[in-house]
Amino acid sequence: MIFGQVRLSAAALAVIALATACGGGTDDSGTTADGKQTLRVAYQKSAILSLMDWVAQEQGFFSGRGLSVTLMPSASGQAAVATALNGGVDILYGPQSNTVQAASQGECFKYLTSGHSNTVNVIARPDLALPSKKSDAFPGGLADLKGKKIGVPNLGSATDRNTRTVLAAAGLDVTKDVTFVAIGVGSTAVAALEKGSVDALAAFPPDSTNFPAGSYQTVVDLVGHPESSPLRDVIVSHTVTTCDYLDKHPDTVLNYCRAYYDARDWALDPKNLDALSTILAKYLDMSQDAAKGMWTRYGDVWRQHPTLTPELWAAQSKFNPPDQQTVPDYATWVYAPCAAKDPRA
Amino acid sequence: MTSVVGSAVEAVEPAEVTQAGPARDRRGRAVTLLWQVLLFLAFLGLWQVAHWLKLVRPIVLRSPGEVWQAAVDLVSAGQLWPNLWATLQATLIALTLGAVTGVLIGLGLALSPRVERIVDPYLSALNSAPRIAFAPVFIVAFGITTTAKVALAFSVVVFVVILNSRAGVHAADPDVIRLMEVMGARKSQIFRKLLFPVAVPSIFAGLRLGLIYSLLGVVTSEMIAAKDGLGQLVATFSGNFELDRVYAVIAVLIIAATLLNSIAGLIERRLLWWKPR
Repeated sequence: MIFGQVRLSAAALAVIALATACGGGTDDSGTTADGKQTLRVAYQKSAILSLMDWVAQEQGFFSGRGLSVTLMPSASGQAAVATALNGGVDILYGPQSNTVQAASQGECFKYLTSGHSNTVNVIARPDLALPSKKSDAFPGGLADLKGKKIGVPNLGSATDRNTRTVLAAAGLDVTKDVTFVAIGVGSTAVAALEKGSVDALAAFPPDSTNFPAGSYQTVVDLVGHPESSPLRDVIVSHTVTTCDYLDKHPDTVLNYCRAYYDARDWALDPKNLDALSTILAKYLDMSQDAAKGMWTRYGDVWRQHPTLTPELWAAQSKFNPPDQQTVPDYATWVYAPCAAKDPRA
Repeated sequence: MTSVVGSAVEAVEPAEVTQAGPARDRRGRAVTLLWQVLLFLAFLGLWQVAHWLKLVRPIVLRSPGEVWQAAVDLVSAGQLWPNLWATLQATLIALTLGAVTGVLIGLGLALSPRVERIVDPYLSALNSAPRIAFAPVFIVAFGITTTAKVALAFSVVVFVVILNSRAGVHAADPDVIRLMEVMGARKSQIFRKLLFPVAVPSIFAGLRLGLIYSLLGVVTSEMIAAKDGLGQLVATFSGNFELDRVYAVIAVLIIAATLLNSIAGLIERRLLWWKPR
């Protein structure tokens, strides 16, 4: 997980520069000896962004849809975009904000599915005074972060942008009132708060489960109180492919989407909690109890937006970088057979 | 003294020889510099042509003009200098600590063959470890601080200096050492008069290499987690696919490393004035 940060830091440079240098993306997908369509799907080890891919793989939904899927670990959403641009993966994950800047430079993506909503909460050192905090709901104690150092996994990441959105909504000037610090994920993030390198940070699962009890306090609980959260509309785990791949493999993509919906139905069925916890524990390298606790805390984020409607798509642009706030055209960017409705119907 | 110019044989006064030598040197250096500039311009030209012809995807290959503009933007936004200073500060601290520690350990080991034999396998094992991978460990240990950057860079630099210092001492001619011993020289005299002077060129070579490794360690640490530094800028810009800015920062790193290397070379030449170039 930690070394993912090294890749994250270097990937968008090294991967793009080396791999896309020869022009248009290529892929080595085809069919297996038993007639299955091969597909490479990127996933992030340090987050639950790709949960449905894990479920589809482990529960045989991919196989059931005639797919032979290779799950390929990626350090971050940005690294996944970089890898997809050179054809290193066929399906990637992430919010709209991860691709708009590459798209503004001539690259083309198609969004396939909705995904889960916000999982970020803001936590702080336990001794930080939060006199303005009346409850855990937004704005919580965000106003007390003026003049403080705020940790985010990486500057420019989706979590960074979403944290800025939340702080700005709480009345802070994010260019002057706070200092953002890149703290990575996992142990480096925990150490950053423990050692006082930052006063507060944006925490998301599974990292948010790594902080020992008593080592932090909640500044604002955006996940537990989504109705008041400035991030209530954000989707952080769309699945995406490149236009090039979709043009060449429309059937494979459609089957991927069907398997994704199979996985979603299965994961959200309460009777599968134990089996789901086993999958989470396997991919996030945590105990099954911790995985179950995490799902109990965060599972609802997967229920809120089953399909990617034009309204939901339009709402994403406000979480994009400041120079990319124009809503990308839905018809151009979204693959409706997958995104607009259940593709199994 | 005589000199052959074309087919004619001319008498040349010694004074003219001493003036012609430096003049020839200056002319030679100017020609070299001219070729270096032409090579750089050719590189820029090829780069621009590749950009025009879109030989490489536009998202990857930005034009020299775009990179220059990105550098100007970085300066005008006040982003460049504080981050450059943060990187250089950590680099120089790590280099200094690595140099002092490395030279002391390297010379000490070279002068103590028994100890050297005992620790050599461990030293080799540590030196062959990919120490950059310790970056997250240092961040966890020291927090997101300059100390974490320095620790990583130090861990890389110190072994380079140790090995070069040892090699420098071992380069001394054993016959000369024996001769000095036979003539009654004390160990301290042998060290001061022979071993250390012989080792200095190798130590300097290690320091110049260490400078580059120190920069590498600091930038790597910054790319993982940092409050400031050029490595953090590279991580941020690459994550946003702003590769023109990435190239601008890399260009600054190259220039900084070249300048530091030149300064080290200058100091080396001053201190080793007796050494033929």
